[in-house]
Amino acid sequence: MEKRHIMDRKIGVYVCECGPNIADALDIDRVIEAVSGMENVAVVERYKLMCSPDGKKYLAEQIKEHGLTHLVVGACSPKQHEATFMAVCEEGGMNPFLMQMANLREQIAWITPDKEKATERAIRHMKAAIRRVRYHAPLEKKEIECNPDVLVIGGGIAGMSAALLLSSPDRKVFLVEKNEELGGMVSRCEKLFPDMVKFFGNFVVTVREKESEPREFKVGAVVVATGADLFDPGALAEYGYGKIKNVVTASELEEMNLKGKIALEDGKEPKSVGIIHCVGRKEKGYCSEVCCRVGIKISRYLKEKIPGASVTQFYQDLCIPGSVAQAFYEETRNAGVEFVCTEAVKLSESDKKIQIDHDGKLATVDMVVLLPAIEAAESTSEISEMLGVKKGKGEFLTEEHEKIGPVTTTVEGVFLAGTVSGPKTVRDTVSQSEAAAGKILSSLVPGRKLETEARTSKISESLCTGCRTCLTVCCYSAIEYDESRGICTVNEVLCKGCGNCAAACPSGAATHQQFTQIQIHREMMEVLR
Amino acid sequence: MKEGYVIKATEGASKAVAELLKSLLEKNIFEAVLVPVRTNEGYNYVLTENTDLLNKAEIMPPVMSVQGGKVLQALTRHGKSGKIAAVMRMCEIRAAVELSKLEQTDLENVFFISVDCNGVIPLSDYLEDPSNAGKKFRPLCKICTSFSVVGDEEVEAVDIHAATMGVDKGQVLLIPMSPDGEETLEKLGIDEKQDTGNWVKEIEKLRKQRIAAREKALAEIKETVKTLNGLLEVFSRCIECHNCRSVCPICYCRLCFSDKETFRETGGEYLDRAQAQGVMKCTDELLQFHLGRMSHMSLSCVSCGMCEDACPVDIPVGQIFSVVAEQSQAIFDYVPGKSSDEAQPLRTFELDELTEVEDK
Repeated sequence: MEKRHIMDRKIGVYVCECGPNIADALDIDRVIEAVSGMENVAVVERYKLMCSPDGKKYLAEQIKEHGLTHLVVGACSPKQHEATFMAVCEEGGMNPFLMQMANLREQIAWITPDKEKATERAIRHMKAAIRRVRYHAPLEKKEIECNPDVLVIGGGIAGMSAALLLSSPDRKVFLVEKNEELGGMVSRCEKLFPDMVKFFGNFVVTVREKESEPREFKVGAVVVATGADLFDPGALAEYGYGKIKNVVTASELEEMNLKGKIALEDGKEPKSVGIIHCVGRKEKGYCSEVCCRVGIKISRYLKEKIPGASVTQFYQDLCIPGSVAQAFYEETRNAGVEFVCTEAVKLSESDKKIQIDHDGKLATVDMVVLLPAIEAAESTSEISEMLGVKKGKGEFLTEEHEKIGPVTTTVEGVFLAGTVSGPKTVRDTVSQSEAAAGKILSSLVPGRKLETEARTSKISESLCTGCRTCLTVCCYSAIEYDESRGICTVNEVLCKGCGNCAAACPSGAATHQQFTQIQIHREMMEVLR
Repeated sequence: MKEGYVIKATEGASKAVAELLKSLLEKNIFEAVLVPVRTNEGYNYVLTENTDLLNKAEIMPPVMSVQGGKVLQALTRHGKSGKIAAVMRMCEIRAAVELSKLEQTDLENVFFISVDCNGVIPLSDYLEDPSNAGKKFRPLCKICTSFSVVGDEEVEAVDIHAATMGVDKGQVLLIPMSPDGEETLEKLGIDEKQDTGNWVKEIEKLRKQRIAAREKALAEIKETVKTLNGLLEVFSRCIECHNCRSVCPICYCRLCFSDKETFRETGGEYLDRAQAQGVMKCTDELLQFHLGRMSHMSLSCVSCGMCEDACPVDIPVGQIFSVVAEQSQAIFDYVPGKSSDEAQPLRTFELDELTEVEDK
């Protein structure tokens, strides 16, 4: 049955010149000649610019005119125009999954200076696409109902920024915060959010119910904004934190400042203060991005509250990029704050004062403020397990892609905002939160259905032996073991079609629907010729 | 130094272990025992509670017609057994453990009694003349280094080891290898205990010899399998009967990838290929079958030699696979069957593995 279908295929093959991009780099006519006689190939043509409105119209008409069952387009990268040509297929009345692109531009024309070699390579790639496409079966696009409501975990600045943007009359936002108060880390800083309380009043929705019964609610997306913790300087003996009097952390100084008085333990004002950067940086293995700015801010508090005090910063590296921060730094330095570059620092108590040994030189101060590194919060591991979002460097949650997917995760519908994915400034945190909210607003529209990935994996019931190898390699928790039938099954909504299961399954019971063994085999037979 | 329990074996080790099994059954410690027995045709595994039948038990049959791992797969693939004691050789136990990681056996209720293995003889030699037993051995048996449970060869699944090497003739030393094994031996009330020192020494000595012998015996094959041409040559007389796959305890797929339509092209495709290349060998899937099987099972290969025994055209397929398995297992520092908790390398993702190849 299947075999007869394969013999009946009518494949249309089209080579796009892509202006001079492809036409100049290889001999298109020779490519056409080489593939013309192949089994099932009904028509082979070239066209100037297939993605142009005229090109798309031409292609759709060709499909109808020749009664094509399958299509091969030799053009640019599918990343650029696969969606375009899939739409053309639908226009021409063909299932879009019966089309295969050969990447003649990025993979050949642009990187092969020798025209002869480029032509030969193009022939191989076109043949591979033609061989492969014969085995393409139509796939069905599926849509699912979606819930527009959103769960935001964490009521710090990241969570609140996202929640505020997301909330609307037709979308519920559930904000979950483990502490009594909203605001997170930044609420303890005077200068950033002096009117945080008003914020609370406007925002505290129905969710902060710690004592009552656990409540179940349904949401369409999750924003993880559980924040980070600060490194405990007590873990490093050289800083004497918790042992030497008047050695405090930046947040403790913030608290004093909020209360209105910066003072030593005996109540007197400090006459000299040392601020020590990068506490725990070496241990953590990364720069926490915000501490330098915090150090500068704190020295300004000090200069403001105690104008006569001398303030010295001990740093290894100053990291203060950006037009605003740079000015902030220069202003502070001009105001009499000293900056001392040093490799290592060791504190000791001497006659009620603190001695700072920096690279062998000694300085004596009344008070020391430590700037500890930002580290992953304890709750991050739990969150990671609960949502299936992987942890990366420094035990922070990882984004889908560091550069081009900075708010999404490998779990669709779970977004990251703020320091849960690593140290960030308030500005970056708010940007990320708003980006996450934007992603949700544009995809989870109330009343609109969600299209799921059609190119998923499936597992053959008759071939599966229930060894569960696929289950261990699935990154999307899309595979389940069915105890009663002794086989594994794929949840098509969760499956993103990565193909891990298909690669891991020794018998080929698990297959990727658009990368079947037979499709890959035929493609490779030609490409590797 | 560990101690073992001494049982009398004046009528041979098999009789002694059979008596042990009988008392385990009589004391209701196990519901049944799985052990090879002598039959008219040869030797077969039986699952029995019949103590009379145990008089025919042969703990080290001279041939291995069915791999014990495969026997346990048949018995427990669809759910665990009642509590049973299984007497097996090391390669069989290790295969059973590998299969359990692939969810093809359920060993929860299986109590393993291992033996010091001398090796088995090729089936063809046995059929020709049963008196060849003890004179000829499978080539892989002659160079097997995992024939007991000392040191590196320890296998976690073993509960009791029945030691015979380096032990006085007329005795078998029962060595507890797990808490369960210890408890079981205590229940039997055996009085005489003995130091295991001689046994350990003997095993270590023999192992050293085997390691050297293995290196020597496999040197040529190692060279051959390095290149594609070498592989093509050594497999050129393969008749594609796939016996090697059928008897392999690790090959557990319901339908082998090589039996699927993937490699069967249409007439037109073959013709296209023949025209483009000038000539095409009919058919050229042969090496793909062996390479595919190698890539699928070599990490779990226990070098039992079943495949080589089953090859009708005498390809040293077991030795070839053993050489490849040794190298692939070394990459992951993985010893098949050693530990039930250690995940099979291809079932785990390690972050550093993702860049390992790229970095080279």
